Amino acid sequence: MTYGSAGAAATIPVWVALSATGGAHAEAAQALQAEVEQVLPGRIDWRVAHWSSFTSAVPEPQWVVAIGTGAQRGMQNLFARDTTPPPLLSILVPRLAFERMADPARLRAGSLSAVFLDQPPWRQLELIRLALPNVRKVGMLVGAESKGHLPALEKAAKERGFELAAAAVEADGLFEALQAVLPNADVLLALPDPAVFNSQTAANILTAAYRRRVPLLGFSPAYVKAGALLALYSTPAQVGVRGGESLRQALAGKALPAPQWPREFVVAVNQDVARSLGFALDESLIGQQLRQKERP
Amino acid sequence: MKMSLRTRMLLSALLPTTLVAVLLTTVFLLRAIDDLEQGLQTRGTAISRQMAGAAEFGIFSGQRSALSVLTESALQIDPDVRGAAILDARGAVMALSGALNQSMWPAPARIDGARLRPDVLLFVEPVMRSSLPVDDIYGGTTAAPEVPQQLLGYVVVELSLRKVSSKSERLIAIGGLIALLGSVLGGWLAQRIARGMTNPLLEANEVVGRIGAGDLTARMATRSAGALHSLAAGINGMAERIGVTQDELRARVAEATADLRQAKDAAEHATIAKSHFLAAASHDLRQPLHALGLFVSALAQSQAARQEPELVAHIQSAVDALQNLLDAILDISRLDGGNVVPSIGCFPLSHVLDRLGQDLSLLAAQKGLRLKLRPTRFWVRSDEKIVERILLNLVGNALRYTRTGGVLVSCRSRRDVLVVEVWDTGAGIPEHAREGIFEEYVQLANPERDRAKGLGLGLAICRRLADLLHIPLGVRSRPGRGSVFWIELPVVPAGLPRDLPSAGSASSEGAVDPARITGTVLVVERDALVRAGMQQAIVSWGGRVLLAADREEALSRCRESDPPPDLTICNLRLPGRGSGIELVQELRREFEGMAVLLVSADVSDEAQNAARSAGFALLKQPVPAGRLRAALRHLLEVRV
Repeated sequence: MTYGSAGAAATIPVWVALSATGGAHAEAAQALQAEVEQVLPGRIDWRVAHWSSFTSAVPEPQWVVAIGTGAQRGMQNLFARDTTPPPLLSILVPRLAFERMADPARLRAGSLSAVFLDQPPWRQLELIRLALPNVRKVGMLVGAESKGHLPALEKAAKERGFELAAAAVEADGLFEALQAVLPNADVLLALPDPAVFNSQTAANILTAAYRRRVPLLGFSPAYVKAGALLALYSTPAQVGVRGGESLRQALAGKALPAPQWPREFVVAVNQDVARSLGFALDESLIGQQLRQKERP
Repeated sequence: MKMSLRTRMLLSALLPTTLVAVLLTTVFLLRAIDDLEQGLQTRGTAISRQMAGAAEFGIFSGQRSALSVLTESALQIDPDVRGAAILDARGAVMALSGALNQSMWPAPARIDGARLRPDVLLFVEPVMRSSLPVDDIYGGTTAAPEVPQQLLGYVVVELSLRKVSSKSERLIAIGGLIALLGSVLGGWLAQRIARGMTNPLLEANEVVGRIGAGDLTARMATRSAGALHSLAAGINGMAERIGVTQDELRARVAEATADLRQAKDAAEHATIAKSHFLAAASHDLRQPLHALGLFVSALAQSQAARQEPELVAHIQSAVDALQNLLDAILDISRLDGGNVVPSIGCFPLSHVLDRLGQDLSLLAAQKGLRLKLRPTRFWVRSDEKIVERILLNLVGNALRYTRTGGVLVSCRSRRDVLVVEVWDTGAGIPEHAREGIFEEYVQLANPERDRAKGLGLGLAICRRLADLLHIPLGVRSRPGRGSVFWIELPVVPAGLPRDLPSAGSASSEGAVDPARITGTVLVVERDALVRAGMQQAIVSWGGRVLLAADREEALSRCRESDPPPDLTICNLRLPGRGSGIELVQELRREFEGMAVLLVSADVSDEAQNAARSAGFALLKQPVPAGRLRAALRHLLEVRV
């Protein structure tokens, strides 16, 4: 789909490449466009399409927005031979994935930036402190990918007086990992890693945690629905808005801001689980308190 | 095999009933049993599925105790569960409860109710890792990859069919009972219906049979005929109409029979009248003839005869012929009237032949013919008198119709009969006339009816006598060469007792002795002419004669006479009261030693029997003179 603008010659061509048409990616794209159009109405020549629709690098756009990991990879590949590729803003990507794909040179040159999908470690730990004040020990299951989060998490934990207990999940060793981590954890912090947390494993992890009466902090609304006590996440629209802000800055002639976490977020509580575990949690209150902590 | 109507009706009603009952019961039983097994199957599937869901975490977490709780609970859930087990993905048993046929399990895969043994159903449910929809962009995957569901292990459940089988057996028993009851009920109804149909039918059958046998009063009970009421009414109506028709027919037959009887009575009456007339006429003829014979006999002894001997001889001949004719006619009328009853006994035929020779050799000699009687030693069984009469007639006939040559009587035995043949050398009998000669008054060679040649009644009498004895009489002949008349007599086998007939002594008295008689003879005879003839004859033979017309006269003559009469000749029929027999009995009482000779023109058997039972000799009138003289001589000699 192409958002053509009948504007004057001064319109700025911007590509918005989607990892998937519709759904979260389209939602983020719409929020981003709306954020920019608020300031520069009709000034942008939007070309919004699935990343595979952009087959030719010419005519080169002024800005490229990639939504999702697939779109980022596609756009990087499209302009790989270009010595001066258009600046690329990647939003709605997990931090580790972005960092794996990002060209450090372009990062340094300021022609590549991102708004991450996942949440910063401190925010997660602050939420735990707010919602479950008695918790000291935070358990984690880490796979090959999510291992990368550990250093930042450990740093943030140390700063806040948490004990981290991480168990690596080997192939078919999920239950062993659970058995290793659950006795030493007051809360299980789920980190996005398809090798560890997926629809096949979720039920058993939740069951095992429940039997140990260990609440789980999830990273998506699906986990709250599936039985996690809490979830912390940013909606695609919140990420899109943040992306729109970055793009607006750049359009205004400033440099692209460095890769950043989404500013807005949602705290979701499964009240049934909370009742079962004996907690009384108000998700809006907790969200508010958390936001206040971040904006002193 | 022929079945009775009732059996057939019963079968035709009972067969479909039973068939339907059995079929319905079978169908319902099969359905019920199928439902039972289906229910078991469903339960087994449900239990195994439920267990598979519940076992997921236990298998995942390897908590065997939790799994054991699960398998134990399966035993509690359903009493038909023999046992349950939970295996891991490799097939190793993690938990097991109850009695299981582990060795018979097939390779693990989903099995919904396979029959492990005749009484065991096996259910195997794979335990898959359940899936929660948490794959989204936050999880690091944009679109959830289609991961094949991961197998965790298996739940194995065995259900026992034993209870279902026992329930099935109970159902079958109940079903059989219902089918039986249905059949019995059907049979009872069928029998009732069949009886309702067959009883009237059988009754109809019997009634029709009785009507067929002539019982037209047979009727069906229409009230009990039920559905066959109209049939019964129809049969009754039919029987009634037949009865009416039958009655009409019977009335007509009775009418016709009455007419016939009337005609027959008239005919019999006429015959009796004729017989009476004949008897009366012959009786009346005999009296004068008797007298005539006596007069002629006296005439032949008198002086006048010496002057005209030829005339006397002619008169004698004419009288003899007349007497023969009368005898023959009377014989035929007696035979036709059925008055002669043969007296059957055994006798040697040679006696008969001897008498024939004595009687007829004179006649043969007079005609210049040879008469030869071949002797025989056979005994025969018949009436001697009648046989003698037949042969006398046959030989007499043969002598009469033969001019030259001779007559031969021969006997030959053939099996158990003796054929007596009378051969002659006469003119023979043409073939067309052979049957006719046995009729009355047929004389072949005597169209001019010469009396000397006989009367033509001989063979007719022979035929009647032979018929009376039930013996065959026949003739064979070659015209111009001669004829053979024959009779067949049953032979008495040698060695059997040969009783002489008691009444066989009534044969001829033999030759007449011409000697004179002496003594006084009382003649009681109402016919004056006969009285006179007898007086003349007896006087001419040298006797003294007293005459009486009735009883009183006879008594007074006897009392007047001195000495009293030696012999009384008395007619059986006397004027006034009392018969001749009573009179002579009275005389015998008064005059002891008086001989008695009864005479009568009445030739019936009753008359003869009456005389015989009284012990008196009876001679038929007219009595030939020679015979009378012989009888007188005999009685007088015996008396002396």
